[in-house]
Amino acid sequence: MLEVLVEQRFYVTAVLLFSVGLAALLLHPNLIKKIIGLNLMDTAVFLFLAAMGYVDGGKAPMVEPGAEAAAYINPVPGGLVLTGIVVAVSTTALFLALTHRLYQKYHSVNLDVILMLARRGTEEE
Amino acid sequence: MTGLELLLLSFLIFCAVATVLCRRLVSAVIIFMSYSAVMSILWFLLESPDLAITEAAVGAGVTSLLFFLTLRKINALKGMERDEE
Amino acid sequence: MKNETRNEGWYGRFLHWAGGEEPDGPEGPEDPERQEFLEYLEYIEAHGDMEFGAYRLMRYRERREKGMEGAQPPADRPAERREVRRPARRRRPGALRRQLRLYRGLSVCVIAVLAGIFLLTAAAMPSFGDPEAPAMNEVARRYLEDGVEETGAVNAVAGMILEYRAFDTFGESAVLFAAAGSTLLLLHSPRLRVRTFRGPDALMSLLGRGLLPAILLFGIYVIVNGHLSPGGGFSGGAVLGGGLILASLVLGEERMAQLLSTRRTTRLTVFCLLAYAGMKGYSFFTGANGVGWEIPKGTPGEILSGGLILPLNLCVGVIVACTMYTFYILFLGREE
Repeated sequence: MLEVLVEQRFYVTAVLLFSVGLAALLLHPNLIKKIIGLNLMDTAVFLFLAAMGYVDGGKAPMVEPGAEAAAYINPVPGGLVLTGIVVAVSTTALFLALTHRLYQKYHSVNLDVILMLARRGTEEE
Repeated sequence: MTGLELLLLSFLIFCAVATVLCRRLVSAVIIFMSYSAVMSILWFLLESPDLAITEAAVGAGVTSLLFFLTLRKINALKGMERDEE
Repeated sequence: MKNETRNEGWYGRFLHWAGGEEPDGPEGPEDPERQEFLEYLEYIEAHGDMEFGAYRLMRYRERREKGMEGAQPPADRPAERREVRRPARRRRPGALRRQLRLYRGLSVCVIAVLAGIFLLTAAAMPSFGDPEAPAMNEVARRYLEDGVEETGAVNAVAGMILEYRAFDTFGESAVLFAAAGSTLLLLHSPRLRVRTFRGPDALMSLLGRGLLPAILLFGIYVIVNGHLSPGGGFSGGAVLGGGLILASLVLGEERMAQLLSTRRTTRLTVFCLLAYAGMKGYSFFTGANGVGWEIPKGTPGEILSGGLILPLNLCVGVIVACTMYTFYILFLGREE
């Protein structure tokens, strides 16, 4: 059990981080905390991918011509994560902008309060 | 090397839990910054320096700055600014 | 209930957190409008349903009757005629609260099940760092073994995302542009003028001015050297964007706005996207391997090598840097 934990440390950490992020995203009433949870999930997935591409004793993929493929780490997850990180920032910025608009309308970033007020608003229409 | 990785990974989990449970939004964002910094060190250990550069610039820099600016917009920073003056 | 759970160590704190009672931040409501809004929430909790506008009008009348100083009529007064509307349909009390409790229970179940499945999967994964793992399949091998010859780029990651999978990267750059555009739509409002940061203090200014050239130079180096060393458009663009934000902090937004206005960053982004589309479209048009129209690959390891990868890296770098800087300027709430 413990050996598996130590051996697969990156995967286990990624799973735990993902769960913590998901819990914050689903359960926390504060929208800012929800966005932080989403960011935690993002980085957990990236950590998982980067760990999957690692090869024992491999170097960063700056390839000398004619070298063995086994001497380097897998470049495919690296490319995926590289673009993913930057896209994650842009989605975060978009969510923060939406949060700001909600605050402008309801004067709160607490989702429970916003839900209550939104429901009251639709009832009166 | 494994010991260092285990240390950093447990710090990562600690940071994640702390940033979610923390009461003050400002502290949560600051903890998230340190989380990103540790994540970039881990990527350096995983032989992906390009990811480390990106995460250090983006996670610890731009994302946190955007969070801070949003907190200022929703008036969650006001007490702190007065302390400074 | 509240007071019971408050001082029970981490478990009580967890309950408190999961119970959804957290305020928006203990730094608290300094905003007078927000303060009034919170009072309104307490009022409707005690006295039943009422519209915010009607509440403000009522408070205004109370203050005027008492002859208080500084009583101002509420700015928006559509509530005046709404006051005589029919009473709102009564909802069963606590319906929303019950739904939220159900939602929380289901969420905990989903999280527990997912975490369990994922942990079992993590234990069953091929062991960490295994060179024979299925992830290291023929695709990755091909990129590593023939990549230098086929793309001319020493950096296998750059060769992959800008040559083999360039169309995918184009889509991602377009996503950045779309996100910047929608943030612009959401946050740009002529009424919105938040105060800016106070000017940088002496230490910050000194440090910033000292670091700024190094950061900008490093960003440009990472972009231009993207096919030879770790990095490329995305990494270098992020560093460069951070450098631009630092420049705006140190030099002041007015000077940076003259140098790089939102209009200009948008134009730069669009230009770079079009340039990317043009270059890659050309290389697709002439056949996937550039039959007959091959762009010289150059000697791998030299700065002018790798065919289109260097200009594509430049385009991506400019797009990423401009997007980061645009986000910062928009969240600052300030237009030129």
